[in-house]
Amino acid sequence: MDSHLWFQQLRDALNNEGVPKRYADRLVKELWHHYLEMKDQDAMNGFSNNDNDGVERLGSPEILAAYAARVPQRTWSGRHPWLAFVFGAPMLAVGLILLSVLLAIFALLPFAEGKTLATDPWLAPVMSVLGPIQVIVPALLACLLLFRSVGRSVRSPWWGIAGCGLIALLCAMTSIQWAPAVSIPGTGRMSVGFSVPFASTWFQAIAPLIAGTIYALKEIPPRRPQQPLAEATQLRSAA
Amino acid sequence: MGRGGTNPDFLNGVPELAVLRVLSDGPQHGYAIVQSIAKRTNGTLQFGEGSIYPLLHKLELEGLLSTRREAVGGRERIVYRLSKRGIKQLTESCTRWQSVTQSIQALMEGGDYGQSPVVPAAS
Repeated sequence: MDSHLWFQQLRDALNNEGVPKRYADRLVKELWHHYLEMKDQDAMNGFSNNDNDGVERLGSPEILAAYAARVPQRTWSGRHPWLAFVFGAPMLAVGLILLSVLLAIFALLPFAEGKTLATDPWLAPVMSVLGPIQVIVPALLACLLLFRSVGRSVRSPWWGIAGCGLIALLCAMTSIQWAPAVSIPGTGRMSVGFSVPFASTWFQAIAPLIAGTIYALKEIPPRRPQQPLAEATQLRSAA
Repeated sequence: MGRGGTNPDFLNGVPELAVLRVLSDGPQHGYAIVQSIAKRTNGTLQFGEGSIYPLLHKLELEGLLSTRREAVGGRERIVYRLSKRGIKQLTESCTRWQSVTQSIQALMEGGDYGQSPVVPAAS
C-alpha cells in the first residue's frame, strides 16, 4: 500500500499534520482495506479497474489528514502528552504508593498492635515483604493506567514506555520499611523515604520494567522491509 | 455519498448521527457503514468515503463505539459496534434532530412550532 501514490500522499500529509505514527498506521491500514473492498465491488459490478477512479472516492489526502489530526486531540492526554505521560504517570504512582501507606496505617497497624517478634515470630518475614509490595503493586497499577491512557489517546506507545521507565526509576528510589517490635509492644516502626542511591531498593524497579517490556513487545510492531511490488499493481494485474 | 466529494465537516453532527443510526442495526466495518449510509440516504450525503474513519475513531475515543478485529478472506477488518453510551447518545441525538427538523419545517411553511403550517398562496 505504501507504493500507491494516493497512500504515499496521505502518509506525507499525515506526517505534515503531525499525526501520531500509531494512529496514522491504523488509519492508512483501514483505508487500504476500504480501497480493496471498493475494487472488489467494482470488479463484481463489471466496472473498469482503474486505480485512480477508486481512490478518488476516499477523498483528498490533505483534507483527510487535517481531519485525522484532530482525532488524537479528543482526549486530554492526547492534547498534553508530556503532562499526562511523562509528568502525570510518576505522580500517579507516587499518589498510589502514598495511598498504600495510608491503607497500611489504618488497616494493618491495628491488627499488629500489641504483637512483638517474641510473641509472634511470623511478623518478621511478613513485614520484610510488606514494604516492597506497597511500592510494586501501586507502581504496576500506575503502569496499567498509563498504558490504557496512551491507548485511548492514540498516541505513540513510546509515551507509555517513557512513563513506565520513570515509574520504574521512582520504584527504585522509594523505600518503605517496617520494623516490628522486638520484645516491647508499641516500639515497632514504619519508615517511608525517597532516596538516591538505591542499592537496597533497585529490585522494586523490575516489576514495572517487565510490564513495560511486555507492553513494548505487544504495541511496537517489528520493522518490516518495504514491499518490492505494490499491492495495488498486483491487484490490477490480477483483475 | 458521491464520488470524489470531500467535506468532512458537512452538516455538523449529521455524520455522527448517521453512523450511530446505521450501527444501531448491528456491528459493521467501515466499508459496510459507508454503503449503508449511501443506500439509506440515496446518495444525498456527499463526503469522501475516507473521512468515515477519522469520524469512527473519534466516536470510539468518546466511548460511543467499541471495536473488534475480524479476519475475512485473508484481510483484517475492524468491526464497529455501538456501546451503551452510544445507544444513549443516539437516542438523545434523534430527539434533538427531530426537534430541529420540526422547527425548520414550521419555519419553511410559515407557521409557529407545534401549530398548523400556513402555506403561502400561489400568486
